Amino acid sequence: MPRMKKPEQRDLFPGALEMMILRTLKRQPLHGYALAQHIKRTSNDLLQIEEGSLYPALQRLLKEELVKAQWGISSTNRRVRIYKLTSTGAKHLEHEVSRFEKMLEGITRVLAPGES
Amino acid sequence: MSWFERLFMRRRLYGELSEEIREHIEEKVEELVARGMSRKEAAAAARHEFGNVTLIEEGSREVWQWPSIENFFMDVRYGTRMLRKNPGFTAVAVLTLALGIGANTAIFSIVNGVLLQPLPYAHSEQLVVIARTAPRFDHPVPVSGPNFLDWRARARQFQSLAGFDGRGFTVMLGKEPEHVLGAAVAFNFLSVLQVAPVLGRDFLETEEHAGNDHVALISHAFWKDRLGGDSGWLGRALTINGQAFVVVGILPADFRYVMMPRAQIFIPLNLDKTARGENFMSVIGRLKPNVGLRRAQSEMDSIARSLEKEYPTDNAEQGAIVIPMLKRVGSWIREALLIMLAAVGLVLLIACANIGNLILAQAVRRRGEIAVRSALGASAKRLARQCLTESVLLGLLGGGLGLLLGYYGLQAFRVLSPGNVPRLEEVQISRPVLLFSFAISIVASILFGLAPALRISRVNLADTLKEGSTRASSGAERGLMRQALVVTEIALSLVLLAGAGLAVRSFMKLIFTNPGYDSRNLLTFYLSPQARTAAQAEDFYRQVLERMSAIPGVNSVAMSRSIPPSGEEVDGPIITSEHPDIDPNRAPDIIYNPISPNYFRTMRLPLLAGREFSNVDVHGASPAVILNEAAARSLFPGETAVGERVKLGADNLAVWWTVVGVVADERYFGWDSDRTPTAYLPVSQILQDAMPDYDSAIILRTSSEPLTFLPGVRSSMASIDNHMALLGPESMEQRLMQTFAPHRFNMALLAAFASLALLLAAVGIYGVMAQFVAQRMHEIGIRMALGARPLDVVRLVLGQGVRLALLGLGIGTLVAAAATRLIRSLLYGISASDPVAFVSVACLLICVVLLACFVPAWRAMRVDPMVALRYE
Repeated sequence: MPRMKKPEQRDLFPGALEMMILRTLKRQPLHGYALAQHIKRTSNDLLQIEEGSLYPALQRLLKEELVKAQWGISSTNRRVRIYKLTSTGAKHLEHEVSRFEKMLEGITRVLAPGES
Repeated sequence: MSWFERLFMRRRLYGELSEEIREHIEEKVEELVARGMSRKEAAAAARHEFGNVTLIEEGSREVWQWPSIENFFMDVRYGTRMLRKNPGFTAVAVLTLALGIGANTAIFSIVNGVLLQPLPYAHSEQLVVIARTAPRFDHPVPVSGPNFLDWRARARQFQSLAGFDGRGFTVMLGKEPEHVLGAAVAFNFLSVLQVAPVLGRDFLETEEHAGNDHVALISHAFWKDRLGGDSGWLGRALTINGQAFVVVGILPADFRYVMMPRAQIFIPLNLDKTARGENFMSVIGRLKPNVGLRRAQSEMDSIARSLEKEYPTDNAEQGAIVIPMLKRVGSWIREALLIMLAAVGLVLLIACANIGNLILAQAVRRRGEIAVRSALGASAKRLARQCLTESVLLGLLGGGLGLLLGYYGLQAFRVLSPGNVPRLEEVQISRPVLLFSFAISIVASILFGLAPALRISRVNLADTLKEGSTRASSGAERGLMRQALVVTEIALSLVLLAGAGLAVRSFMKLIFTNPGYDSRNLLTFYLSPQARTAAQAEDFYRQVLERMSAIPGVNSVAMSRSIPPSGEEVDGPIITSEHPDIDPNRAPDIIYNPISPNYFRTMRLPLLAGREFSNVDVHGASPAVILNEAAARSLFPGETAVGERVKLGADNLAVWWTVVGVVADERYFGWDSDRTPTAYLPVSQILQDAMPDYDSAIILRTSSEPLTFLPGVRSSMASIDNHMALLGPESMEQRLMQTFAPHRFNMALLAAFASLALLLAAVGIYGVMAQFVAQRMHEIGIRMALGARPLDVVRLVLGQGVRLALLGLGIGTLVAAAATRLIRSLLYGISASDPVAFVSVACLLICVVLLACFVPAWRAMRVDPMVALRYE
């Protein structure tokens, strides 16, 4: 029986998964499975994400209307729900990314070896 | 999407989500298969990578929900289903709880109505009672007329002060004289209470004085029921005590004077002729707005001090105490009510322990279900919450039913109560009571639900699932908790039983105590003659005694100031010639009773020394007194009292009385008190012109059932004065029963609560022992296979039960020893640690425990070793 990690115990900071989803969807609309594979692949499997944890995050984004979903047919001929970034989602992503970059910059500075 | 749309779209959303997830996993499986994995391996891997589907679906759905509320409703639905699935368990638990909550609701409604709710007057928090204090009394005592008038004139912190004197009136309605309770009150009595007549007018200030004082205010009920509700009665005269009183006003229908709830007629209190040393009346007052009790008290202190200086003989060491009226009204019953509240609290605690126990037993059976839920991803917190929800559901069901039981309990209390609870007619299941019941239901459910909830949330999954049988290895720990609960139940039951045991013992003492006189075949009643002079009064009473003793079957007739058990306190200093150095204000409390010469013969009270009164002890002759044994012993310790002299208090008693005899003790004050020192005086030496309307009791010794003599007594009375009512005619035994009634009621209530506790404890220990046997079936089988005899098995089971009982008993005895001290005031003639009571309730408890253990023990004894061993 695998132990399920609670969202707040994940190795990601809060909102990171959502940001990655939005970023991925910005490039192209994807369905859940493809989204999971893409994130895993591009992160070089560095991020240990349970594939399932994508879905609560997607529901949150749907609720906030940052993404929208439509049923369609995948390349492998499956009936899938394809997620697409909305314009609000795009704006939100931009905002989040810049916020993240600022934060990262701060952290990097602190972690940079002895400048003083 | 609005939240409203969402609410309706949710079902579709959820369906889509499940489908999506299913597709996701299938796609993964196919991909893995394409890479060369077997389908079975691929499915496992896909699920592994995906995570807990149920939990993820739940988490995804939660995005759209208010999770705590929806979970709560789900828990409620689930809980309801569980409760419905186990009707036996549910019924027992709900009923147990309902009994506990019902008892609490009923008693609390009385506590609330009697002790907490404001009195039924405007700004009732301003109302106070002002009484006198004197060093010889440990309780507030009546006030004299002149002192009241001075208080009223001098007090500045009060809007007004009013006095009242409770009285019985003989009213002529038609031809028959009738006894009606009422009071003589100061003219401003109603305005202190802020009550106005609905018809007519209030008293005028001038009506407090002779010449104007023949006016009356009557209650609405009296006007409606006795006078036909005819408004023509305003301005008409009512014959009260043989004199005409003009009805000037009718009181509001909802008006009741809480200090004298049965008062129907109010007349002005004329204080013109009363003496400063003659203390007989009560005083009420209304504080000015924003004046606190302390400021009022300090003002009354200084008034009392200056009155002490001005009238040193009558007011030496006399103080005044201000008591909130609400507190004063409840003072007689406060302690008993609080004790009852504590008792029902204990019953509820025991009920909680019992239900906790039931739930734990239930949890053992539900272990499998809980393990499965946990395996499916329910968190420990979630399981605990589910369990608590079930408890609260039980609690509310029990509370609802309890409320109903409480309502009927209150009705029963009203009917059975001996009438010593003031304001009982005001008591109802009001909003504070509902709130209270709701609150204790919730508290109770948390109390009994918490332990099982904690226990359930710590279920060891793997063990439970693997085990699969009902035999628990982890059961030992859970068993321990159940045993602890049972020990608690037994301990609490013992506390209640000890209280009830003491009450029963006390009541037995009360009814089997020799009152000193022969209470059989005595007919008693009061007379309130309207004589104008002492001579007239004496003549009246002489006629009464003569005519009544002429009735066939009446052996002797006596008069007395009061009918035992009751008497009047001697007010003021008691001085004996023998010990002039005794501080007269610290002398023993003595009551006095003016009697006719044949009183002792009529009562059959043995004369111990000296002589009885005779016809020589009349007005003008040397004052003679007969003491009872207790008085003789306390006034003349170690000496013969006969021949000594004594001064009794103030006023007309403050002359030298020569002790002519000593009689056996007679129990007064309802026998609750110990032997009361009493001085008997010849009534003819007491009667003075100052008090021609001297009330007196008449006591007849009859040859058979005393009540059958009533018609003869009535016609004999009519031949003397046909305007004279017999006030409260009753046999002495009836009077005694009334005196005992509050004790019997308290005892019965405590005993009922204790029996309930005992029953619950028995059920509790039965449950634990039954489980003990069920869990040890296997062990017992082995023992028997190895040669244990049935008796050994019984001993094993009973031994376990008795161990628990003894532990509970030990703890309970310690708690009870401390707790019963609180009920000392309800006890008569025994100490709060009465060993007989303690030992007998402990024995009772042990017997009940043994009985409760017997069924499981018997079952254990009949275990077939083959069956038990095969049962693997």
